Amino acid sequence: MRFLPWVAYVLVGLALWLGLVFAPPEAVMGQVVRLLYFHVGSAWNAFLAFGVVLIGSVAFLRTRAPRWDRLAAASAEIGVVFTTVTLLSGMFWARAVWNTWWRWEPRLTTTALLWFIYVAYLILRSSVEEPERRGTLAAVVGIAGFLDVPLVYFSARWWGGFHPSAVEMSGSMVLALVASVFAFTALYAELLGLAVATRAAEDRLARLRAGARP
Amino acid sequence: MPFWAQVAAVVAREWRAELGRPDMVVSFLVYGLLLVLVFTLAVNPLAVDVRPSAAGLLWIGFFFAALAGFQRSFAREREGDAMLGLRAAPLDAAALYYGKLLFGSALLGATELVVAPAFLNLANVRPVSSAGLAGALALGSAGLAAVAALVAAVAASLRSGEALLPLLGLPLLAPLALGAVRLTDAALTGALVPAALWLRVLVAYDMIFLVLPLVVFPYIAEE
Repeated sequence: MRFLPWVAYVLVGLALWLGLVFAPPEAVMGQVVRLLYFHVGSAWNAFLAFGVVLIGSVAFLRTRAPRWDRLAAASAEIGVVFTTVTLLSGMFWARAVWNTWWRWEPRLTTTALLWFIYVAYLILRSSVEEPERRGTLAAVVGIAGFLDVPLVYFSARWWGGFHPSAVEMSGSMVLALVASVFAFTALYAELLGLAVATRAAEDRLARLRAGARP
Repeated sequence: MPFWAQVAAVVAREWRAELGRPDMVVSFLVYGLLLVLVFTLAVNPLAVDVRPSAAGLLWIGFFFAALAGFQRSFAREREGDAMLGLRAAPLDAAALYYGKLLFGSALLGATELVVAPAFLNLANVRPVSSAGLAGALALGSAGLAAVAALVAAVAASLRSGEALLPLLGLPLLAPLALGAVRLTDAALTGALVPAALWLRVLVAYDMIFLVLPLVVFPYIAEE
């Protein structure tokens, strides 16, 4: 784990170079295709992060161990950041390629709703003081929110879809894409470790302030 | 006491509470009718054809009426610390949820019986299929009530719960909104929709959110 920060930073630097310099512009989309490297990497990690929220929520309800709640909370925060990056990069891309910022399309709808669900999750957390109570209520929302996702996706899919599922890519573009997915995943792991450690320190501080033994 | 008898006891308790002070009826009905009035003022059915958006407007009204109604159901347990007594009673926590859900669903259904005809009259929409409309409303309302009750239970134990309620509820209700509005639209205007697919969405949604509270509600109630 001591090497994780370095792995994350080096991989992110490498992915940036591969995506922004090394990979060629695309035949039709031109330079805009470079958004793809940020878009796919952050989208995959957003889903991963919300999956971790689900795991942390279920484990917290079963065990009542605060570390599971810290894991869920930390992962939700990072997931919201990655979802924001996914939405923004997608919107810039859509503006250039579809000539519109937004379309009510399955993956866009699902991602937008994910954003709202987990922002509500974070607001919920910030409005409960008592840690065990906060963890319990948040876990219920974390579970219900995740169950909602496939329903949104499938219902939005029957509503009509335009999202590209494949882009014609050269070898160097595939390399840049794969590198960015790995780099963002390493970044997610690093940020998650930091956010969990921060929360553990906050909890310990709160206990010390309350006069209990750490 | 068997589970169903506990649920029945909770329903009877809700009924007596409602007779004492009709919080829920007022929330459901006033919200529903108020939204009908505001929609009618906002879109002016005399000047524009509201038929294509009638189903959507109707459901927005039901969403807010349900959230407001169930909010009252759980908020009044906080007043006077009734939750303490409920936890001390030999009552399965899930029975509390399903009792409140049953009672609230009955009130929601009654509200829809008043609000839907009022809105359709004001908006000048004659349903193509009344049976289809009833079916779409029933299927949609089951999931709506289940989620509204769950979210209201969560919000009731928060400081700023009332403000958070739509924020928590509406994103969860989005798939229901898609399915229920499409089916209601088909029943109202005869719009061609893949009804079998939307039925499946609604049934899956109803099943998931009717069963989930069985598992998670005891955690919300324990405090």
